[in-house]
Amino acid sequence: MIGLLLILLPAVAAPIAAVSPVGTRATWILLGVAIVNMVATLVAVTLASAPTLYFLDGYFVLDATSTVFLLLINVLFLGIASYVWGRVRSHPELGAGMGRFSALSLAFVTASNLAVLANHMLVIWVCLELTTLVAVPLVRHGGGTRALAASWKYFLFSSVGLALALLGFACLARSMSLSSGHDVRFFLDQLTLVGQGPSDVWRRLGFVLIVVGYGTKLGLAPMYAWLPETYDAAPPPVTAMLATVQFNAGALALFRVLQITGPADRALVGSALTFLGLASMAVSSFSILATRDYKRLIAYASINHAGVIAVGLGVGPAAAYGVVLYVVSNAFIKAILFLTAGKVRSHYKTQDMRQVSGLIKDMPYSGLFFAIGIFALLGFPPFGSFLGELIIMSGLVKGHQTFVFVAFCAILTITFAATGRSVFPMIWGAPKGGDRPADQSFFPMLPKIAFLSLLIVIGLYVPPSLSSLLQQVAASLGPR
Amino acid sequence: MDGRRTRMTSLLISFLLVLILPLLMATWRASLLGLALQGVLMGSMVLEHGSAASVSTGFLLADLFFVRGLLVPWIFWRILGRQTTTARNDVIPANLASWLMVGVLVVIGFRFGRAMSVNHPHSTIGVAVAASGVLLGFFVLATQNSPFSQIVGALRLENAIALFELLPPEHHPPLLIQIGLTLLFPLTLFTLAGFMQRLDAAALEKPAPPEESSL
Repeated sequence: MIGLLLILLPAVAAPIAAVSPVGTRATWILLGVAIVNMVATLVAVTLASAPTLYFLDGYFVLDATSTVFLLLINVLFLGIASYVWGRVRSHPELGAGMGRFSALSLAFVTASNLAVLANHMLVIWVCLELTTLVAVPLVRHGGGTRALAASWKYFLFSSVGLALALLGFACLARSMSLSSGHDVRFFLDQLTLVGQGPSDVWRRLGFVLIVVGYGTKLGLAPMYAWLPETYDAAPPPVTAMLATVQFNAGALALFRVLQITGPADRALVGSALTFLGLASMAVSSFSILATRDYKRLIAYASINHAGVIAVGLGVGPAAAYGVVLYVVSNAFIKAILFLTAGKVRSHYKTQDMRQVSGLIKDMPYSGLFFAIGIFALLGFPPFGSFLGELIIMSGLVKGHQTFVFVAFCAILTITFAATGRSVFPMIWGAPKGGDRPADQSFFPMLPKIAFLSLLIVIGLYVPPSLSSLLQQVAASLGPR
Repeated sequence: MDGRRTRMTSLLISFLLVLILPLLMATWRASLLGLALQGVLMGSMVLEHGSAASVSTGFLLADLFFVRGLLVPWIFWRILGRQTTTARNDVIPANLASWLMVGVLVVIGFRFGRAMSVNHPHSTIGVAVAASGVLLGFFVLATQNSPFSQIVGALRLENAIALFELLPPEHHPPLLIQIGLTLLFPLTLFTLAGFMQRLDAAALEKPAPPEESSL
């Protein structure tokens, strides 16, 4: 309980960081709170007295799903905070506006943590909307008109997506009051019971709207247009926060939707997810083929990954473990790639892949991170993304979803070829960096080393305690 | 009971008119007046329902009358007044096809309302008006590039969803969540207003070169 209350520490520390006159001091607060937050999360998770723990009048819950996402989000946030701290430490001129930046980042992680811990669908919705409101100025941080336009697009799409999800909840509420005679309550455990009953048209409409609405936060088609522009224009740590922390808060919301879906609605929700997933994968593959911008390429790959996750969730229990493993691995891959892309951009002063060559020689460490990140992105062994995709594909075969399986494999092949064709010359081509030495300071590199280690560990050997946690989450996605 | 139903129907039909007319009048003042009237009409519907007096109902009424009915038009009226904008503002393209499309969307809304309320015919018109509002909100969002028109589209969508939530059978979320939902809307509104002040439609359309990111 004490540990969980400590999760609210960032909210308390945010105003202090906001009024901090010195940028470096604000980043110290950001890093310090991220560390304390991580420790508090570990204490809370370790000392949890029961597998499912309700608190604050049942509005919040610590179960296997929230534990996995809480750990994941806070590890990622700690890494991103230490990257920011390292960057400002080695480049003090970047300290301008860091008080506001740190405060908003802390508010962002508080809202994400609360979304993850919420046991009430509307609380999750409110917290996701809060993450959007807080992320808008973060996307704009230090940018000009391009960042402003991107933040506007992000805000508009997110708001409309979340409005759709809210409309979906209104449909669910109508279904509950009209047909089943249940009190309208959105507590997860109560909704799980309601979901076992017969379905009706309001409930089916509600679930589809919620899936499409929350899909917007993940960048799923048709509401994906905000993602490449926002990820491209935002500062690298903000992109990493959106692609990992916010993405996982959105993924958790989708997981919760599946957990409350009863057998009567399962096929519809599964089909909707499969359709949205395949559409997203197809759109992103062709965009990867067309783009010459490496930051956009990673952004399109994020849409592709969201598509893989949606297809996996659509498959059902046979692929559930693969989806959970993929979500965890994917978060580390994107954090490594977006943070490295920022370094590459600041060295070459361009995002055009044709202008960047010989990365591995010009910037050996960043080149290595980029190369390994791309291999993991493409689903090479031994990374968790490989095993995750394999389990999802085997789930498709077991479920006799031949058409989806063929389309899934074909799109992945196109993505693989398009990414390799663009990125491999960038990494191993003739060096273009000139005589200017690359900035290889240690501290901003530290979180990437940590993320890479975690990524490899998860791919090679999942510790039994973590494996059991992941299996519990996977089981919760299946029929009850 | 019949008197109350008639008054509710009148309010819903007024809401539908407030949805359609500003689309045809094509001035920013008409759009803002339309949004304000939507808030006031929804507030009147809550009063007409005769909801039990509670803190939750108080928050709901404050949201509808004060925030949607007053704050929304006041904020954007001030911003647009300062920006010396011309009176004309097309929320949908000004041509016959668009006006026809508005009619088609309203018909679809009503057909949807009838199809979804077979067992509860008294709620047909409410569902129909809310569905029309959602469809028209999306139509505005899909056809416009200018920030103000997109903001109007988003707020129309928000109002249509709010109307749908007000339809009987009545249900109020727990007080804490009602407070959260009520407070989120002004926050969203201030963010939209911030964008309205900063954004310039030309800057959005003009491709800009990548900037040096700060971090």
